[in-house]
Amino acid sequence: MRINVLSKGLFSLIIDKGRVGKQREGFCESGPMDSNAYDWANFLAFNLDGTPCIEAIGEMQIRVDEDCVIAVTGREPSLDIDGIAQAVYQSQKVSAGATITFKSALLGSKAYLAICGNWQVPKAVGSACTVVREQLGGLDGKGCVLKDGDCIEVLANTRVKDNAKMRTLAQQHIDDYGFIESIRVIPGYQFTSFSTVAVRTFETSTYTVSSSIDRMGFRLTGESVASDIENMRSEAIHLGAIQVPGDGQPIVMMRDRQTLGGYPKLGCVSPCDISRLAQAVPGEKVNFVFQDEEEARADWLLMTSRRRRLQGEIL
Amino acid sequence: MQAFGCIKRIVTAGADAIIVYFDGANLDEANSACHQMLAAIDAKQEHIAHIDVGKKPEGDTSTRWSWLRECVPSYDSLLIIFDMALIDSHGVYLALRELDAENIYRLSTASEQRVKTSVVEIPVWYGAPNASDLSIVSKKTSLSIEEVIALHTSTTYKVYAVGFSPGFAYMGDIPEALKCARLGTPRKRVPKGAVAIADRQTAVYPSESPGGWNLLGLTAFDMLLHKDQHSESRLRAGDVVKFVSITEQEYKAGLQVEL
Repeated sequence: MRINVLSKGLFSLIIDKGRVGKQREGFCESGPMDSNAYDWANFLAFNLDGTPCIEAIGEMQIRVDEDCVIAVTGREPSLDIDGIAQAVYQSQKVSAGATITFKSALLGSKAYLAICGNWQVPKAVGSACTVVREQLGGLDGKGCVLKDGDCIEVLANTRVKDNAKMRTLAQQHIDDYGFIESIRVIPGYQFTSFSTVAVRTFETSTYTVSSSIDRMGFRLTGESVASDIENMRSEAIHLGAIQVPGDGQPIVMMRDRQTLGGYPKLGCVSPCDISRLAQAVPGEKVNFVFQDEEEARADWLLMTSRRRRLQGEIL
Repeated sequence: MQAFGCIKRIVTAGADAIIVYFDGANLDEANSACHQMLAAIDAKQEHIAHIDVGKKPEGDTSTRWSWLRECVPSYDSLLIIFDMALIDSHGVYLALRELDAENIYRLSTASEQRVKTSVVEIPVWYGAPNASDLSIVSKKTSLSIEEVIALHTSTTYKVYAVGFSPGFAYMGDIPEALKCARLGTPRKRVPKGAVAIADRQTAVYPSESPGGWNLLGLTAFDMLLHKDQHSESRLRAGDVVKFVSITEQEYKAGLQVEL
């Protein structure tokens, strides 16, 4: 089956789970910005975990030349097939020749499109993930983002029977992407070198998501939280690390972050909240709350077991 | 988490990661300690992978670190990322303590021997027109251009860490006299193969990218090895590197070979 890109939207790329074990050679982790939505998309499209899919900003349009099953997820996503609106967070049967249009309602948020089957995309350094800066991954393996006219080959998945029960994630179980709830942060790295005042400031202030947000990092603006450290040796930057350069404005490090860096860090955003933050758009306001690692682990275990239970019920 | 051995501090990095900082009389020692621990962890994983392949697993397979997701070393620190479903940070700490000290020591002598036998030579066309801050460096250091080149090629350097971008190797220490601060305003484009210095460090830009280091010249030495769909860093932490001065013609000839 061929997937033709009719309109690429603003910025869309092929992603998968990312590169594991290569950060020590300088290759960034990469992977889906919103891993929750990515996992759901593949599950609902009858794919195995880690199957490539499309992460799109803006309205993307594609055409398929064979019958297939797809699913669209993300933050407030919408989907229409041949001009008729269809439900998201649900397996959708699509007929050969149909045109699929999908997007997120918020400009800057990502929508995920999973297509059932075996994606014929090259793996570069163990992953199909597109990293433009590293000239890695994507359709040509050299880091090109999707463009109009591109054609992706996806082989039919023979495991999925025609009469397979379609899968739906009920509305009430779809992740909440709002920012009424604070973003949880685990204190770590150079946390103790920040003054009590700086830490309190960070926790009690509201930060605005700036327009400098990309797959490397999200720059926030708000009250300054300078640390006492002037010079430190570069060290590994974990996903969600909150680094604070000299100007005191925090940057949350995302999937395509550089592997090493020398700015002091307050800690890391909880793995439970990183997908939600990754879907924020410029101008949105976020608050942070510190949480110790035991609590964070408990929350994460609850979140993952809840997802497993939901998937078990849907099957 | 109490420090032990040549570890200075162990702190939480995030919910699923801890970072270990190493001690030593100088950076070189701390860096070696870091890579000894990494080698011991890697050896453990390989050993267990080997057992898995065999039909009859021998030894205690319950010691398998199946929770280990990734280790990312740097100058004097090692980030250890784990699977929260399988272990908590205290469990990771206990596993590190259990790493056989003797095993670490044996590995360290082996890896030092390996290093001694291989010095990687990187040929540099110093003063290449599109990659030269030689006059700036000359001013900053009060050395002549010839002295800058002579100093940069005078000694071998150790690769302390690979990171920032694929194949970017942080090497040091350059002679004190050559020490110079980063550019006030980083360049938007540094060409691939640019050889650069900043503070007491030196590096080669593996691909065209922005950068704020002082450029000395160009090399045809490719920092990334490309095989089919696989790329890997040509230099590893612990490798020893020496720069040698070559002419423009030799550089261009080298470029042909690398292509």
